[in-house]
Amino acid sequence: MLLVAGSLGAQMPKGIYAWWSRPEIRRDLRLTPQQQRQIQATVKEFRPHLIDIRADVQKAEIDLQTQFDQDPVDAGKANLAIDRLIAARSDLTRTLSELSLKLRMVLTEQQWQELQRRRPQPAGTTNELPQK
Amino acid sequence: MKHWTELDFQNWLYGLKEQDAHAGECAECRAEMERLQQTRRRVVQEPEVSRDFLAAQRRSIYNRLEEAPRRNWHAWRWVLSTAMLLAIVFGLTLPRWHKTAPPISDEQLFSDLAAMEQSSEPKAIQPMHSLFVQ
Repeated sequence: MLLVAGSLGAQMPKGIYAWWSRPEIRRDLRLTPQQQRQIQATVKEFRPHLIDIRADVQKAEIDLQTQFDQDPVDAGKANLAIDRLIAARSDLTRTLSELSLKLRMVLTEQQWQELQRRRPQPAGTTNELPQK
Repeated sequence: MKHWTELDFQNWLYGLKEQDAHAGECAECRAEMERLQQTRRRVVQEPEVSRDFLAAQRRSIYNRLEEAPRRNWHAWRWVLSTAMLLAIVFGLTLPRWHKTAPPISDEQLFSDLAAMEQSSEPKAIQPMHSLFVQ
């Protein structure tokens, strides 16, 4: 069940990072002052909820670990902990996706392409975008 | 001759009636006049107060006058001590009440979130999962 949830999560936008905090990216994207204000406002709007979600996921991870460490393991409680973790991770994926969408809508097509190009990639992959 | 009435005696006792011929001759009325006079004298007589009693009373008053400010100071000292203690306690605890989670930078927050999102499995099952991974 968790692996399924994990694989579902893998289809969502990955690798979000605070690119708006990096001066070199702001410069390269040529963000206008208005865009910067919109981005800051959007991030500020999502920040409290994201902090809560981070705590929820951490807590759910700890709860699940606690259930795994029990002897004997209470399957009912462990399954509840699994459900809570799935819900927290799902909320994380949804909220990050919504934030990404709002930030994408602030950017122009060119800025979005540039941002994609600059996205840190896992080792062994490239930053090349598919040709249109 | 007619004896004095109670009202006659009262008026005489308080100087509103002169002693008349009957009162001078009637032994019964004179005895009553004497009794009333003694009673009045005893009632109006001021109680004798000894010098020692007055001195003791004076000392007691002075002592209380001197103690009053001291007692007030004792009371204020307690109030001030308690207030200072409370101020210290509040001073130490209030910042904790208002203390929020330490600020986290966007970089750190989104780095944590990305790591959470990218991890495909809960930490609890990683040891189990690793048994099946070459």
